[in-house]
Amino acid sequence: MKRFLSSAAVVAILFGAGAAMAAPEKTECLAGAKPGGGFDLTCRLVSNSLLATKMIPAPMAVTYMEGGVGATAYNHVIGSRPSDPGLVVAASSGSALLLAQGKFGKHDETAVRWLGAVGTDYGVIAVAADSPITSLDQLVKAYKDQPNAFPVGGGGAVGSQDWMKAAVVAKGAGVPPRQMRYAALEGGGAVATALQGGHIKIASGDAGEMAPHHKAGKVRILAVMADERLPGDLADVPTAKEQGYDLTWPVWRGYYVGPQVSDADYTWWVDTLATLVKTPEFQKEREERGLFPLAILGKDFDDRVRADVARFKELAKEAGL
Amino acid sequence: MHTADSPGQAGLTARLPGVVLFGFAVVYGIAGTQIEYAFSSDPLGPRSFPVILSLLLAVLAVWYALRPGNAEPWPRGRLLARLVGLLVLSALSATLYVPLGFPLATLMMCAGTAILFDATPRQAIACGVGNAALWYGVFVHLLGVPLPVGTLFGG
Amino acid sequence: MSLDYLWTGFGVALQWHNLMYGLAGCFLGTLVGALPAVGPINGIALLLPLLYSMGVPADSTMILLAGVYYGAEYGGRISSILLNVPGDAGAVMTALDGNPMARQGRAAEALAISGISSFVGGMIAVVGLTFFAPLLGQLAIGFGPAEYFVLMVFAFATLSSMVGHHPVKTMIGCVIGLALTTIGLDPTSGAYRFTFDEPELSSGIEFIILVIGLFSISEVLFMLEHQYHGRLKPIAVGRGFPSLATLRSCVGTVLRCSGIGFVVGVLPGTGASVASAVSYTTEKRLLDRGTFGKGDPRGLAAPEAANNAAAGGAFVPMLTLGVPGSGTTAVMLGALMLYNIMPGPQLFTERPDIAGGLIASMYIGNILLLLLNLPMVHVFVRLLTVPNWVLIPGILVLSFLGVYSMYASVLSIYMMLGIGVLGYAARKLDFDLAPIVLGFVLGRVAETNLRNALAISGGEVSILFESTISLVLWGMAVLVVLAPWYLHRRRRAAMAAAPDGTAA
Repeated sequence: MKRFLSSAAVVAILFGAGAAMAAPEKTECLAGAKPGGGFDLTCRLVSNSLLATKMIPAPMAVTYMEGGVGATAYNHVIGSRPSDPGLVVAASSGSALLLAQGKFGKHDETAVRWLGAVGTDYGVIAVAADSPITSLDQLVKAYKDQPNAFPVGGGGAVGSQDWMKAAVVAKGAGVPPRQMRYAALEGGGAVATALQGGHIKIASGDAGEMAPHHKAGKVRILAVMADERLPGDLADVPTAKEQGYDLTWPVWRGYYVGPQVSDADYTWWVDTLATLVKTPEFQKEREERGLFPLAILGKDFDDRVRADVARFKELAKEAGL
Repeated sequence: MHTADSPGQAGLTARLPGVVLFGFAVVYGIAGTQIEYAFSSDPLGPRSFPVILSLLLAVLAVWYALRPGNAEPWPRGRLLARLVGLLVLSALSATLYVPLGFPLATLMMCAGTAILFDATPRQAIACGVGNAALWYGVFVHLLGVPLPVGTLFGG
Repeated sequence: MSLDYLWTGFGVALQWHNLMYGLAGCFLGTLVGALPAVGPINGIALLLPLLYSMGVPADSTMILLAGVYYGAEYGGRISSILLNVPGDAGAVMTALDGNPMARQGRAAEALAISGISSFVGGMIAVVGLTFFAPLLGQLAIGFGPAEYFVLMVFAFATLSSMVGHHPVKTMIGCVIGLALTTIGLDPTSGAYRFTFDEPELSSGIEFIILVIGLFSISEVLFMLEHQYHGRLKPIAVGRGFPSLATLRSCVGTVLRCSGIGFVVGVLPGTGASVASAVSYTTEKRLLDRGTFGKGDPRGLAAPEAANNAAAGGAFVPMLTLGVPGSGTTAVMLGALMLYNIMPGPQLFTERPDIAGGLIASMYIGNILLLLLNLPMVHVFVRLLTVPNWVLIPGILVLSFLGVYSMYASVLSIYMMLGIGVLGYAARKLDFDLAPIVLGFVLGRVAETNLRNALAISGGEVSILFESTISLVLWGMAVLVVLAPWYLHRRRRAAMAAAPDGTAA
């Protein structure tokens, strides 16, 4: 297999960029973080399933460029490799949030070509398994009475997705987000243990990382922030909407390419992803990574990213950021 | 080895690091008070730590300037030229990773470094070629880490 | 707790193909660790996708990766001891006494002590993992932000032992290390600090870049200087195996540090670097009569036992809670999830082959590694006879690659070179580099957890004194500052080391 890869690389060197409307000779997925994180997972999803379905001739390389939760990769693609037809970069709704807050540097969301989202996670609100609170409504009422008795924990800083999710719940309880006692912990695992240890009383996280702790009886997820109930381990958890709170928080995962990638190559990628998401190989890979079905591709995705950025800007302003 | 044990003998040069550190502490502290943020969920906020550290550092820098203790002499002349040469060579080869590619840039750096360490030209070339081939092979073929082959060659 | 899973595990791990995977892992790990500047995270992160795409089954992958993980802990010491170039974060403290030993012609002895201490530390950790994993999982849960902060106070208290003949320089180094952690995204408020609008600085200075720059690059510059002055006299290789007396003198240290290392490793959020730092400084505080830092075997045994014990301890939260205890276990957790295996308490009952196989392979791996390492000592010390014009370019290339393979950016290499120049200047001015690293290791954990604790309590400082764990840690911090002072006074030792115990 390795020899196959290297010979394909040689072909790529000899003939330069691939011909339009065919698969780029050399494909690469750039993860804007360390190995093992969310961007890595997003890259592996596309690289494994593209190879398994034989939609690309040679394995897709996964490379890493850590920095600013994807900011370094974003600037790198725009600045150094804007027209590379084989390079896709992993992104998530978190990227849109950072773009909305201007944390990707001088470029905004229009600086790259958004390919598509191929899977999604959803926000969840959880309490400890031994907590007397069993529904979102009870939580909101109890929080309203005594906001200081309920320190909140999430896997990100003030202004991150986890903080935002907690902020909308706090707002629902009539508590200004600024007055939340919020601890920014190191990722979803740390949030789950802090909840079990009683160091925080409310956890804001994602379904994928919280579901195993819920299933093991360590934490109790009160609501999923999705339009409909989720399949699998969380089927018994009602949505926030069912409980009378209009809170949804999808955490999509997708890709973008450089701004100067040709229309032909862009179309090839969009078509390829459209075919890919329907294959059983892809669906198996997606489920293994704890992601739920979602496919927004091409122009639709571009619109979606812009809409998300606009919404996040609005939310940030309301929260006083 | 040149030493300056008692504070009375220490020259200006020996005290200079203290002055530099003090300057750094001041800049760091001022920059620390300028950190922009909307709000923080904790009472300390992002500015407290840098400001406290800068004050600590400023005090320690003054202490250092008063009692600099032992120090080795700084490199001068041809030694300095060699050290700077090594650094420039390293930085240059890193800069050339993308345009020239890893193998050529590494060949250049290793051969140059070998010369600085008194190798003969023949040894230096062997060292450059060997390192470039070995590590390119290990990382690209064994570990699957893509390394640049050089945009000049269409890679 | 029933140990059925462990027997299942030995059944899995002792299958001949898994033994081969384990052996391959140990070998690869030793190799990855032995290369200066390339550590276990690089090795595992690079191997994992390869194994997955080759269709290696989950149990074999985990066994191989655990072998790499442990092997790298053994191998990482070689370049620390022989070249004064630590391969990864956990090996920084190893160089402090290991390299002076090598310079005294006791390289083989140092490598053997390192191997044996690593083995004991590793074994104690695996036994602890086998029998106390669920219990320790509970301990880890008891650690909230307040407890972590007090743990850091304790760590700073042990640091007071580093205040040597020139306290100002030690403290300046520590403060600079602390200041370096304030670069990048503030994890609490989300503000960017000292990033100068440069996105590559937004996640701060990476530890691996700091360590490689500070140690490898500055060492290369020093070697060039020695070469120029013709001061590079060949180091006697030394063939001696450590004497029984030497080994006996290390027993207490190894046992204590294995314990410290294991417990620190169990806590997610602290890892091998904190473990080796705390145990070295604790031992120095307890035992030092002016020999530490000058080639004291106990100063070498302490961090070695601790970082291997911590490496084992880091598996406890990963296996029982599904929370990684270190960067490397985070990558291994990613590996498990790639195979759709979710760690947690149910892992022991639902997939005893994985949980048990992994633990069983650690027993086997540790023994393999000791057997692999002791005879190899004489091969490794040959490294000292390699001429500089061959050795140095190799160290440079690997330093570059260690950084480049992780961050794929030329700027990170410039940063590493810049830090290397600072490290060179600091050493010229008679600064120790260790306090800088220690400040860096402890700084972020201390700041983040203090601020999180105060966020939770709404500014009430009393939260730092509420739990039993915190109170015990405060007590230990006071003890570690006062105990040596008390011992010194009782012994009325002729040389009165500075008893002012600052730092804390």
